[in-house]
Amino acid sequence: MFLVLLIYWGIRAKWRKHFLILASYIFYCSWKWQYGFLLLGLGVFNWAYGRWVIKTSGQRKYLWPGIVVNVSILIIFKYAKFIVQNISFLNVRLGGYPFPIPDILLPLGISFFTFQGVAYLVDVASGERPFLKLTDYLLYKAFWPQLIAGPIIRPREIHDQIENERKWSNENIEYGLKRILSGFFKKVVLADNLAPLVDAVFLKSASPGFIDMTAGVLGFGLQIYFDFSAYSDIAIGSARLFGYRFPENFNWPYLATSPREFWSRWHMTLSRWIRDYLFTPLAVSFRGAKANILLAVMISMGVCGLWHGAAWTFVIWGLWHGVLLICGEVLFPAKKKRRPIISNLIRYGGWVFTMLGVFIGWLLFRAESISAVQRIFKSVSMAPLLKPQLLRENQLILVATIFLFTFFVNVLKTLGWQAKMSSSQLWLAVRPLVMPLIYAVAVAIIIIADTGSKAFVYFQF
Amino acid sequence: MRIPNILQAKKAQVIQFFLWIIVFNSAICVWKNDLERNRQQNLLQRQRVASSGDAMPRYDLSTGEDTANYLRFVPDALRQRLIILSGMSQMYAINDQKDEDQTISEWMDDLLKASGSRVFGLAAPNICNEEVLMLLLAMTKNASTKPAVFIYGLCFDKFRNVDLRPGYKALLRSDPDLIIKWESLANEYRDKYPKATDKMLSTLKSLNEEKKKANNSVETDIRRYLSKLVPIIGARGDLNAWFQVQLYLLRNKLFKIKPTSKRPQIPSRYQMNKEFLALFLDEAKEQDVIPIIYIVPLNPQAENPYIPEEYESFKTWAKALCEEQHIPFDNLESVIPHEDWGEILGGPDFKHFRGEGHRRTAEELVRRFRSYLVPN
Repeated sequence: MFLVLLIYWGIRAKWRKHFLILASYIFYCSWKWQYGFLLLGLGVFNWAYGRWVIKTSGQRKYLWPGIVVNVSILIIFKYAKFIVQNISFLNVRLGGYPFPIPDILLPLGISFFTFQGVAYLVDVASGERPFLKLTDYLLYKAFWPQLIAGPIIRPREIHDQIENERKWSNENIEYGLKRILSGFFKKVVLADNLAPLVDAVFLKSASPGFIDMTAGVLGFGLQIYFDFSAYSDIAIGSARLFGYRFPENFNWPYLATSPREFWSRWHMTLSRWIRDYLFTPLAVSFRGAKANILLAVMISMGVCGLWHGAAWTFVIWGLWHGVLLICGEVLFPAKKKRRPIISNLIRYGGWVFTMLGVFIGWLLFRAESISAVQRIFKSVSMAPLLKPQLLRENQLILVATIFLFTFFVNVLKTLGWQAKMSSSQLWLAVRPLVMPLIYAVAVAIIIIADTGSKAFVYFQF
Repeated sequence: MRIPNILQAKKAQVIQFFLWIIVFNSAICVWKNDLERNRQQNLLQRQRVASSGDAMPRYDLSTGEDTANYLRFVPDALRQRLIILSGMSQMYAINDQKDEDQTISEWMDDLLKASGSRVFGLAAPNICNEEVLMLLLAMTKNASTKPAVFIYGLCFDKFRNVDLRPGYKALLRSDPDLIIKWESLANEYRDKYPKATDKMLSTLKSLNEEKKKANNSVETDIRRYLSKLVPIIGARGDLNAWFQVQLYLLRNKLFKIKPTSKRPQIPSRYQMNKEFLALFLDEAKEQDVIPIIYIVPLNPQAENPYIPEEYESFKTWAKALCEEQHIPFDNLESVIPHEDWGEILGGPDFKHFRGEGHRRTAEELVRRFRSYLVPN
């Protein structure tokens, strides 16, 4: 990336976009070059379809073929195996023979770039201006920091940035480097250290007890948050180095006091995609009755789950969140005027409810299958309640430490310490001396911790 | 070409940052030099011990860190009866070491050499049963290293450990045939030993991921290049290990854990290790290797971390397993008198003895299992 950055800012402005497209495709093709053609083909199709078919005709009915193409590609590459497996299972149950299961390698980031394609076509059909130049659209589609795992950027968020020349700015570089450093710290120091113990709990042959399962689920909730928000930090920071601003993807999700708030803080660009391109159209088309809105919530969250992976555990995870959203609205309705004590009680109650729901959901998310979830519960029910069956003391201490650290930072955030500190005279005086040391220590810790780094969890989606 | 001026905005802070990085690297250089010096001294001491009877090492001096490198010293099994002795740190650690001291495997080798058997030690700290199984597979793969007898000293608290250490992973990763053998064994025994075989497949999966990463040549090359250039990157493995040890010490201090603090077994890990041991025995027999199991000596007067009922049950289980499978077994728990044990952290060491303890253990092993160790 350093080399690309140097060349990017070193060449003439008019070549920069072309260079970024080239670099992005080289990056993508370095994994499996054949899939570069899929990305390119889909890019050219979406650009041409948006520019020439939807915009020129001005008719929304032409939107559907474009959506079908994007979704079909997603289904073929991501869900064909899952669909055939399920049909085959049913066929066997009905006395037939099993079907051969297709073995298709999942193209990296397909869930992201197909959803982005759908968003583009819908937005153009809704009146957004399309990208006039193919190169602009190809950059929007393939710009490497967001290509593999988002954020899912909407055209209007980046349209002007792509069309206008990007200018070097020291602030951008400083901000970008800080975000990248923060991302590496979360990934290498926190997420990767939690991974082995989470893997141990969810191993097929493991027999966790209650303590192990709790530690495993807490650990996974923290791991996936640090892992994915780390990727988003690195993506946002890297884009900023090139002069582009990406939307945020996380906003302290574990501070959410209701499931609805959780989804406005967790993977924000996906939840807003689901809201705008799935839930709202469904709710509008179902119209009227409350039951229909609930159905739209459940369908949207089911699709959200399925988007994460071709397995029933993901569907159930999505539906579970649908139930949480509905229960959250019933139990903790948003009312403006309440006595402060009641308001606080509802807030804390809502936080406990949300976190319980979210972390139970992580169990479904991480388990390999429904039978794995059953196995874990069976094992927990048979083991003594408070005796670890699997994890060593130091692993339990690690989870507890990272959990308490996260909790502590979240509490500081809630109390507004960041703002208070920024305005403190003492901090302002020592900041120039302390910050370089903090950054140097963070770099050192990342280097020392990085002896066996793992792939980002969200790459699989 | 326009060169951006990154230092313009916060020049002083950037300079400070790099100064700190230089300070850290300098400190690490000094630390690393000290570490290397200590290592060299230890290695020389071990080399001296190893070479007192023979010119070649007679056990894996790297104690699991670089085993592949020591396999070339294994006596040729095609020319003499090869015996492998495996186990935890008791096999090679010598308290209050003297020049004439030797490890168990070296004493055994001295005792058996004349009768046509050679002994080689493959031990590592806190070795677990998955690792011993891997060593068995690695050794039986080639006729020249295939042992006639594989002795394994069972240590109760090692049944808390799982997974292959990096050195053993490297050994497995370096040999495609061994990987195939590992996988086929896991598949073959899937129904009989579900926990152990599932773990084997999981090990293989992590190995493949590491392999993919290692094959990513640009990244690997950059890392290799930088590790030569920047001390903190070059020393990060050691720093990581040091840091982990400090965390353990902190944990021990905070929770008042001593080496002898009573620690119950972790059921799932214990069960998995039990399966691994049974699988090890099955595979040894399958390969025409005689497995010998013994319970390692413990200091009779030192406190140990075992819960008595658990430990008794473990010994009963191990004995029953061996009897059931007709495997030579003995309990050497109390063969070493108290005076032969050293001290650790200001108290008696319950697991590692002085040089004399190694000699006595070797003699006991030879005496009790002589019929299996000496060729007919």
